Amino acid sequence: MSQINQHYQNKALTYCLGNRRGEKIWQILSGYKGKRVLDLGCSTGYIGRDLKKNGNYVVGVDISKPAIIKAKNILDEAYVLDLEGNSNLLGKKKFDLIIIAELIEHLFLPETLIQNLVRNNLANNGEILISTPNFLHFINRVKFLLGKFKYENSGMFDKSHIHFFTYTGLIGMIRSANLNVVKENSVIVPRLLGKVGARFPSLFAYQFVILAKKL
Amino acid sequence: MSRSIIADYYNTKKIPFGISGDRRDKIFPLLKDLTDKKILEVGCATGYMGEKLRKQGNYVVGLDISKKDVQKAKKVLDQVFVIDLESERLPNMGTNFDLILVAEVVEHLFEPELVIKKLMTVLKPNGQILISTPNFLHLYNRYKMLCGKFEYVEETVINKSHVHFFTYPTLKKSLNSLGLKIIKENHVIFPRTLASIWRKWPELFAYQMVVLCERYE
Repeated sequence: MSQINQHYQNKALTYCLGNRRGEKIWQILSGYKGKRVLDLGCSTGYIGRDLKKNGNYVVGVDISKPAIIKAKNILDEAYVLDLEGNSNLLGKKKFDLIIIAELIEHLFLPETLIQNLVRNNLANNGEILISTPNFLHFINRVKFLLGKFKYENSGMFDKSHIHFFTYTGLIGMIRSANLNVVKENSVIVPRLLGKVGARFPSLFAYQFVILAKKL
Repeated sequence: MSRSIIADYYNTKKIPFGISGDRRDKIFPLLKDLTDKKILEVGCATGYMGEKLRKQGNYVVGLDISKKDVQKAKKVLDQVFVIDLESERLPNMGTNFDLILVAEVVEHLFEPELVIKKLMTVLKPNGQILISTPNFLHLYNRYKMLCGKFEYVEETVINKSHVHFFTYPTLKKSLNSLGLKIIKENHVIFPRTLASIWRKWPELFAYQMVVLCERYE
């Protein structure tokens, strides 16, 4: 097993949605019913659980075996899968919704994964929900200007974040996969900026939360 | 499970890895007197650096993830192996290397410290490691990011195969945690004019950091 896979085995158990991110994602998904959902990097199934309760069929995949053992008790189906490995587990199975929450920053070639998913696994009119941190949130810009950048064990600069996104970078990737942004519900920091902040996501979105649809 | 996606990337990479003139000019002065040494070149690509060291009379072993490059390197180095340093054990290439050359490699690794640690098992007790890597927080990058520009572009500090960014303080801290101390620094300084002044602040002006290290006593 490579260092990369090893890194996630137990770590994935600790992943959960920050309160505000969870809230923002759930605001988009709470009305979904009767959909086939694929949750990539599902960890223990903490997002899929509520979707399943609402009457969706949820399939989860994760690189971590310990996480999947738990997810199997919560989701309809759950499998161990290294999304950048050789497996063809997903094949041509189609889904109405693919959740990619806090995952793309951990991938070596995220745009390739998304393009493949859109081609092979997204039903016509299907949607993709993506969330990822904003590397150039204004607080980070100030930190970088002052020379502060170091990896940490969790958070924005988690050492397993190998690919960073800005608003432009993320939107560009979504478009290059033949997807159209239909909703943005990003976590805005500082919170009091509210709707004004949401108009300048490249500066004030701390976590991007974006819903996109197949063109 | 395999990370073949990464090996595939390096095998089919269109822009060949080659060391820029600037960087080479900073690395070779540190190595020009070496002769009769056993050298391990990590991420040797086609062997363009090791070849020169071999001509100086050193025994050079190369390692690289790209099969295609290793085919070429085999013609110019003493021994070359295809290896993914993050998932495989070191090949049977002997131990006791006098110098390990790790030029423009650590930024491509998921857990660079673990890889260096692994490499140190074949380093002589008083052997040296030369590391070069871009400075993520060079003044120019700080300015660009302040303005909201951060794009993955080939052949720059922010290259999409760069999965781990270093700054001058974080590089020093990593080396320290590995029991390595810097004995020489010979960074690529930008801007070039008045470089002798700017080099006092490598955290701001070193564009490529080039450090020669050895173990603490």
